[in-house]
Amino acid sequence: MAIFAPWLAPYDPHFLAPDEDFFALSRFNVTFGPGTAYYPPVVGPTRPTYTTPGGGIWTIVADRSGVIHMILATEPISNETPIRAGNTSYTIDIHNVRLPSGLLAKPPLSSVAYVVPALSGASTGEYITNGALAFVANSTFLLYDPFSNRTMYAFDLGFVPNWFVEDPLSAGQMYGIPQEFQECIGVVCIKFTYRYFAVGAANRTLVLRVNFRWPQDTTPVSGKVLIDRNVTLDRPALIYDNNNFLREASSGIFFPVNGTQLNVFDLDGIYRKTLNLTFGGSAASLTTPLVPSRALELPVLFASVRSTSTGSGAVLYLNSTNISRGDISVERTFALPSPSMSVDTVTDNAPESGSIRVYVAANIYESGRAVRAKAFRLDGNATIDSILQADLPEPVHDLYYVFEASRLYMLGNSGAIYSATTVSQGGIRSGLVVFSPADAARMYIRLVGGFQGSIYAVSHLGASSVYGLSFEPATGRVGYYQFIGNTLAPLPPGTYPSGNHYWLGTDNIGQDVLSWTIFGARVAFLVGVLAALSAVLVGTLVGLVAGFHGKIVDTLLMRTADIVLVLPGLPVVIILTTVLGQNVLWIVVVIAILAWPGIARVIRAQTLSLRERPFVDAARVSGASNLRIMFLHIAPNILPFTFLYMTLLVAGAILTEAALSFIGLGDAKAISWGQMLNTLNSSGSTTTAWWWLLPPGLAITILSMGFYFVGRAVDEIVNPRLRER
Amino acid sequence: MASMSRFVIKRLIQGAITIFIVTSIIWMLFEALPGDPATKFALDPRYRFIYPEIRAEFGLDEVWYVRYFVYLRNMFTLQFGISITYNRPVLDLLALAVPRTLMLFGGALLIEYSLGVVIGSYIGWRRGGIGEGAAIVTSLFTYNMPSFWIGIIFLSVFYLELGWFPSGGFETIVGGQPLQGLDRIRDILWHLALPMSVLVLINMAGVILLMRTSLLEVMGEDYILTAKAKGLTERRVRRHHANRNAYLPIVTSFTIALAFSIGGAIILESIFSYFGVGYYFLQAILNQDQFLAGATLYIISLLVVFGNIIADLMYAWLDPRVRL
Repeated sequence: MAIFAPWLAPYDPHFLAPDEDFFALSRFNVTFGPGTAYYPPVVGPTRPTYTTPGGGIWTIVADRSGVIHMILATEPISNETPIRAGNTSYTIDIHNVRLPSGLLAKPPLSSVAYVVPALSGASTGEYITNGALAFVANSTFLLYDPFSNRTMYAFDLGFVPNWFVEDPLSAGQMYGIPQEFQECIGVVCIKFTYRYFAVGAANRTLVLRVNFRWPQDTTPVSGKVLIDRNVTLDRPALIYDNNNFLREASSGIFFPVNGTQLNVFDLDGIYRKTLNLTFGGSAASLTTPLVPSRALELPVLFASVRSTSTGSGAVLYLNSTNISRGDISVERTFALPSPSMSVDTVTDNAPESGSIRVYVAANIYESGRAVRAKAFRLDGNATIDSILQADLPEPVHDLYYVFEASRLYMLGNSGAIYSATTVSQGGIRSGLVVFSPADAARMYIRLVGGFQGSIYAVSHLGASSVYGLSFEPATGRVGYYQFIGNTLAPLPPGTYPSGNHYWLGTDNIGQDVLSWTIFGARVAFLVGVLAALSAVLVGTLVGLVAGFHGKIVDTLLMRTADIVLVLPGLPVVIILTTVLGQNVLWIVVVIAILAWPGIARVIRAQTLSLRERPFVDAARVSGASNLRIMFLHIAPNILPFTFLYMTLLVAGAILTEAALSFIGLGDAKAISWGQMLNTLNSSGSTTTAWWWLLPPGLAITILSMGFYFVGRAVDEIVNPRLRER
Repeated sequence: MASMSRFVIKRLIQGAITIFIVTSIIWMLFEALPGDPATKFALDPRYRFIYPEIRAEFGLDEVWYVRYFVYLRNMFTLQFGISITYNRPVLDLLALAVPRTLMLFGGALLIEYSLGVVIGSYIGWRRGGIGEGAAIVTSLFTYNMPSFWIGIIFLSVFYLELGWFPSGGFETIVGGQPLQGLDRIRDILWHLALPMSVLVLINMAGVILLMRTSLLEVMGEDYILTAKAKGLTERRVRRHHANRNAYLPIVTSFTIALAFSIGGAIILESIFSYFGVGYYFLQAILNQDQFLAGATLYIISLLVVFGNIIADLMYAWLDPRVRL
């Protein structure tokens, strides 16, 4: 069993139950039904960050054919679904949307942007209101209030775009909320917020600015084209509005062009600079969209690039002191650890104040095909820190970081969601776990935040109230996931949401008890057999020599044996292992040191009687040396006894090792039964987790018993007298 | 009986030598342990002022052989120093702990040997049948159980589930005082019940198995046949011819069991918070309380050596050949 453990055990000994099993996770599905071509879902908070209760999260799914589904999810009460009966939902068919010209809007529909309500100065409460939708129907850009079916602003682009984006601040994806500004011409003042949208098609790129605050605002919405150029962008533009804070330093509009360049504009649309992306001395092309820092006080952009000459990848940190003066540059470069790596996912960073941290999942290529991935974290110096380094078995195409849970979530190509902790949570759960099993239909994951109406609620949300969302474009199914629920482990035996079956449940950190029990046989066998073997070897030798030589040798050896026999076993083992070191091999040695005298005594007695046998005399007469008589004539006759005592010793050694480990003085790294009981005892679940308590103890007992039976069988062979009775 | 008293004296002298050697071994073990037993006293404000005295008392600044003799002297005169964990002289702790351990082990030994011999000889006589097989397998099972494991199970069942017995401790202390009179005895026994039954359960199996095997050996002897042929009742053959001879290996096993089971006591006493010698030993090791650890190990060894002497004397009484 010990040797075959890897095949017998259902899981690896270091396996941890996935979060979905380990935690009481809430997950809910809403199906919008199959569409012709769904865009990735958009999440719309009624309140971009934190405020009074009563808000919710809009989940918005748009279909290219012209249908927009919106459904409100609110904070679930206990394990209820956040989409309760009576919750608000809207379906907007753009065929029914009337344009200011009086005509009806037409498909195709672009992706939809949710424009969060603005923060109105020092006032509170107003931004509880809903935001608005922005999209392009055919060639018309629309700012639309879905709640009153009102077109708030429309602008004819004159072309059908193939991409449409919104600035992250207006979408509520940043640490801040769009601030309200007031501009006056004479006595006429207008309150507004900066909202940016960019659209593009072949040979055309356009950036719009709109002054929307919230749907009930009476200020007329107006818009302005900031940039209109006949260029084709490599990737959608990034409009990084850092609101009021360090606005000058960081904010700008970025056009990825010509493969390896960024055209940089300020927020008024004035061209400032063309930044050449370089890496390793040669031009580099973007492999993902540009990623802005979510935290307002860290005006940094991240660019994942690939060198055009060597093909190796890097993550660049772009920083600027004043875009209006055109001084933006690559501040730091992080070369990916292996040339076959490429960042194909969107990198993510966390609004952790005071430090720049970017979470990266780099796919690893083999002969041109992404096969695996590695996730890591870069600090402000563009070096991998030791906190997060996870190897993923498949390439990933989506990721985000949930700082409330200190976890990075990644969507693998198979549709499996992986989760890696970025802190060592008291040494309990760390490393990579499969958060949700493979699901081919799953294409996108997003961070929802709390269902109280915020995406990036800071500091007031517990990790268990942060949700994520996955989307299956083919079926229109939206799944909400709670990231961290309440710890359920030790899990009782049964089948769990991940589909895993734990025959004997798990321990408090989610390790499979059955697997541990099976793998624990290794240490038990190792310690048992090795300790018994060495004790028997020493004991037999001593017994032979003492018995054969007699006189002073005998007295010396046997007195020593008597002394050792008197030593109280476990206490001395405890002290010796403390002195020598707490690892399995020393434990073996210590057990052997204390176990040999018993055998030596028995073997000596056997030798004494054998010594007087005629065949020994015969050997001596024929001139055999003492050594020869001892090892060739007497030893073979005592071997069966040796074996008998060995089998009996194994049980003792196994029990001793288990006892040592149990009191915490064994090898803490060993996967042993004693260690299992030790963690059980320190976990405090001793009295509830019978599935964890019984297996290791039973295993110890049964294995010891097994050796005992072997010993009895040997005994019957050695002592034929026992057989007939 | 002259041979007997000579044997007693001889055995006592041997015991004294053994104690001397074992004490030396303990000294070596503690010399090998990292750290100086007095260091903790220097760090503790309660004891800082007597730190130099402690160093002097244990000869910690002397050369090794002086240290060794000081150690021997201290052990033989029971000057064990102070336990920094319990903030009390070690001797005070041991004066309470030793009787407790003796009570637990003495009681358990008494029960397991008397019960074990009866059951063992019974299944030895009634050969064959399901009863014997079941008894053997059950005994083997309990014999090989880890004591701490079955201890936890007993606690879960009899304390938490059923609430029949206390979770541990030696006795109920109300307002800093134990109970009085008969209540106190009942209370102590109530606390003893769980750890003692675990001990009995585990150790009795060995006695049963050994008694059975030993009896089977004896049954094959010619004198049993003779006794039966004489027409003695089976009961008489069993009592006077078979059992008495079958006890011999049992007594031998007692010697080995003693060192073994006192060792196991450490864990069992810890699980049941039974404040005996084993409990204090483990606490001392975990807290690096070297004075307490050394003294408890010494006392445990003494108990084992005395146990052995008693077993040998019993053996000699049963089997007169040994006295020669």
